[in-house]
Amino acid sequence: MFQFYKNWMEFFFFIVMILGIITALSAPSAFISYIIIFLAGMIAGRLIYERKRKIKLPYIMIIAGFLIGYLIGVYYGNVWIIIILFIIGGILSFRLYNNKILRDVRF
Amino acid sequence: MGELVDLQDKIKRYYKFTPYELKGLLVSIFVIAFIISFDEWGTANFNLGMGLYNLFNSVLIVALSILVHDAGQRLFGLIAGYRVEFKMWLFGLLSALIAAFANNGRIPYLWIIVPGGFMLHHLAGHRLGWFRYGINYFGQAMVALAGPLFTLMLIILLKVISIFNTSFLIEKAIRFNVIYMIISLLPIPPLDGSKIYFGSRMLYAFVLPAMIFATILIVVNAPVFLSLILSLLVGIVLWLTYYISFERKVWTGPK
Repeated sequence: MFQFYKNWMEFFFFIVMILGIITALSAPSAFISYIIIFLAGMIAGRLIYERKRKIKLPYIMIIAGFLIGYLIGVYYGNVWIIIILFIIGGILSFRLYNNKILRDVRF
Repeated sequence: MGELVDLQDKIKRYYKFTPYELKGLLVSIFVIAFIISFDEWGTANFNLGMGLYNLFNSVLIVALSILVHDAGQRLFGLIAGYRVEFKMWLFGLLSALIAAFANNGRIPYLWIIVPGGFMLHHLAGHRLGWFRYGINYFGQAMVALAGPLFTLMLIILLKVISIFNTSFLIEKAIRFNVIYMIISLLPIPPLDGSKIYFGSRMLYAFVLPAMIFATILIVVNAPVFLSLILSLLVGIVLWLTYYISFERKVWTGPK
């Protein structure tokens, strides 16, 4: 039987993957696909910054789920450029927060 | 009279923005202005001049609206004995940008306006305020409510101005503020609605329908005074309905 507290990583991996597919399918051009994945990378970077000194692996798996979903659903654009932009967005966002250039609330 | 002097002093000391707040406000204003001017960068083809002009107009609208919203919370916070600090919400802003790009102007006015939330700091040197000796949920709810209330007042003011001088800019500002107010009342942290909801469910049950009803009436050109009275009545009726059907059974008293 499905137990949420034990399988939450797999659950959110699946949900976020579906979200990635839907987002990728809604992008009308390669340029917009690249911008969306860069922004998604920034969200991922913020999330990894949040978990800097806490358990990371489930979060990284969930983030990877979004990227996999996006790669499955993307119609326009090169797969490698998408992966690179996602990583660049993540690193940029992480650095901005780590160097205290940006501060915000998580909730 | 003494309270007014005290408030004046508090405004002078604590109203100003910190550098982080300013940075957050600037980022939020530019991102939201870009979102609301997303489909105004040319009609058939991309037009940079037209786009920049519309972006500039949007920056003016967004800056005015966010600053009015924030001013309400800051002023009420100072009255209650808190210093309000604006905090940008990057998750919200990035999600709003992704939604704008994915939508690509297909659904008009799909604006997710979530600039951020606020944090309260207790003014320890002014402990004779209304909420003494610490921050509490209800105080936070009241401070949060002041933001949408000020936005509603701005909508009323813009509507009155639009009667005498109709312009695209004012119409857009009204539309923006209506969406901003409704979204900020949603119970999603860190939006104002979540703070009102967790502060007092009864207050939320009154405020949400009353303010949405008032906005709808004002937007459809109903007289302002009548709109406010009717929305107050709707708020009271729904507040009572909520109390009788739900709150009465679950409320167990203060713990």
